[in-house]
Amino acid sequence: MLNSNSSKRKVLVTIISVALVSSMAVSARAAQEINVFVTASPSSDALKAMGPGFTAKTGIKVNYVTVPTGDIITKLLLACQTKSSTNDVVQFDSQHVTALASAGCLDEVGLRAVASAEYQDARIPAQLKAYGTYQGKRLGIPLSTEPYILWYRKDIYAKLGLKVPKTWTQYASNAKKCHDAGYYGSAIPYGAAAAAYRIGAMIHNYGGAFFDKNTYEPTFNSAKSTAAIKMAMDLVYTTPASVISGGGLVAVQAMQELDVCQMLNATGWYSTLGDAKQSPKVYDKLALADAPHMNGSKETFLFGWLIGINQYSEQKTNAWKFLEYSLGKTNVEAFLKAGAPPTGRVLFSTSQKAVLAKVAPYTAVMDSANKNAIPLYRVPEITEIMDVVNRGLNAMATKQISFDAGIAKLNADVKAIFVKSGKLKG
Amino acid sequence: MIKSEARPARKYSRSSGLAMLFSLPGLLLLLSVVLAPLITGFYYSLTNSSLISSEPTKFVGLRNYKSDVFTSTFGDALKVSLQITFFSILTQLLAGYVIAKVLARSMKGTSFFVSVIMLPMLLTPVAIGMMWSLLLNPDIGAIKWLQSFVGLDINFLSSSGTAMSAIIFLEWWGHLPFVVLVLLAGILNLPKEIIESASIDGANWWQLNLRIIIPMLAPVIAVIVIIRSVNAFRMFDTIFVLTSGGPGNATVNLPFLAYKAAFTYFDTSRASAISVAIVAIVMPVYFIFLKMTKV
Repeated sequence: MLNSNSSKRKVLVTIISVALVSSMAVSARAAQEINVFVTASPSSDALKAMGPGFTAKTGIKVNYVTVPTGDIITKLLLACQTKSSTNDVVQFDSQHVTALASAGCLDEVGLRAVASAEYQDARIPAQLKAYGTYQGKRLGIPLSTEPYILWYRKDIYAKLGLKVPKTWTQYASNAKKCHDAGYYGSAIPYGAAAAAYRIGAMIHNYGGAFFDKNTYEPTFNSAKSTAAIKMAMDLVYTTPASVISGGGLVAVQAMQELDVCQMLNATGWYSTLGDAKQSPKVYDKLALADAPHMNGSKETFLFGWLIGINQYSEQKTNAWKFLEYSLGKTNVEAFLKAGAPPTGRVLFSTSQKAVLAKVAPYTAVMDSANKNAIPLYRVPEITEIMDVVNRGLNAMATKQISFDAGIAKLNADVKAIFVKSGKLKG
Repeated sequence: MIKSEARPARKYSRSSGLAMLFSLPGLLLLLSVVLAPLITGFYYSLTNSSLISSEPTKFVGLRNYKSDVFTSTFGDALKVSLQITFFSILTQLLAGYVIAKVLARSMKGTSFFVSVIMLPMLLTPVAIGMMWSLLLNPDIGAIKWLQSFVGLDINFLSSSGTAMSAIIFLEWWGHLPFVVLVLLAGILNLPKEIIESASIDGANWWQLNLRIIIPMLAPVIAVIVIIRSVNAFRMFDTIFVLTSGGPGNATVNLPFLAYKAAFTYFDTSRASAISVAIVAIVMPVYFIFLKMTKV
């Protein structure tokens, strides 16, 4: 009996000891590891390339969790709702800053950026800081910067004697000449999940807006917004049919496969359209320029990948060390050479600029666009607003609804969203 | 007499209790897996739960039902769901019956044709959607190329009517094999004597099919209608891949509406209210199925 009790005690002590040692080992390991949550993109490929160097320098192991792009936001929000500390560094789409911020998912990474000599925050333009900011807090730093710009076919422009358009009227004129010559004149997507983005940028190019930022009253029926939407709808006739029902990717595919003169799209597509293997027909025929504008306004939306730190991470310091290492001044060239699109930071050395010119020859256009770039509306209702505007514009482009009825519907739908959230009275 | 009747009853009761005892862990697991999400969904539908809110969840009563179920948007989506369900099943039954009748004749190559016809059943709805979105691409798709031979140029995804037709066609194409398979099994199991005696009595092809074979297949057809109704009503993947609910909102059905609320607006409470409403609509059909199959 005594022996039995004694052996039971021994077993118990052994189990407890093993458990304690295991938990200590787990803690020790956790302190030397960070998890980086990314989606497949040239930016995340570059981040992955930075891992070994970071581990060699700091001894901190970097694990990468790669998820499909469409799943990023849902997975992050669900993890956040359960206060999960699994992910330390998180990549996210700039248009989801509001959702992630409203849910309290992100650490205020801006404070670390400002305090870091290695990151050199002063070299990040104000507009780029703004697109990672929500209610005064910088929750993301730029991983890639992708404003909308004009893409055009140099060969077709030269053949038809077209000039690079400065205004949307000139763009439409070029589109007509292309159309008359047997080409597609434009490839601005009108799809039910895409139209609001580029046509929204056009609205801002005209000096218009979706709604008044102070009163939340929808302004699709303002003269500037209506003119921009009218211009977009007037270009439908010369747009490839697939692009009328499609999104940004479909527009890119149209540029790759069909003879399309010009389009408004994000700089981020350069890795696809500028690549000889992916776009053998057009990679050397495309040129990029500032997006057309009207009414003296050059305002456009700024998109791109942001990166930040999980609010519930237990490795915030190590997570920042990784960001500082990957995106700081020392490794600017290494990061670009690893295939990353430019983050938008201001470079200073000739060698850095040379690398950038090779990786992203459109940098000058991008920098120019960045000067006039604004983030997508920072209101919690933005995802619902973009959905109803997408669908309203798509219905107009596919003639499901008349132009006037479409404008009225856009206003009514957006107003209904603000009424539901209590920002407007019904 | 009384004793002899009472004994088997007690025996039955004892064995039944024992069976229940052994089945209990499995039943509890099944109930928790099936009921827990339903109860949780119903609970969320009565709250202001949202993925993009850091505020504590509050009970809001029927507010989500008022704002998202008893609305014209929900009505439009219900109409889309009903249209897809009605037209896809009607055409599946018509085509399925003809194909099953042909396959029921033991001819050379029947097994090959059965294998070919079953192919769509092996594909996932997402794969079907992807494949057909390429085929239906109005610029470079094979359907456009085929249309050029007959002088047509229809963009199937650009108008509400053609987009809806495309969705219904895909639903029809993807699940036709199931309908054929079940009808074929039903036809092969029909008593041949009745059909033969009707033929001898002078019944023509129409009379034979409409008055003899189809009435005898009624239970099989009912099972097909019920199973397919529930599935077609819940259709999501194909719409997501092929049209994203467009043009405009023309192909937004109820599951897509719930998806938008949950994963586009991140509003779990509104999505739950829509989902509960879907269950409430589908549930009676399911109970009819249970009653018919006597499960």
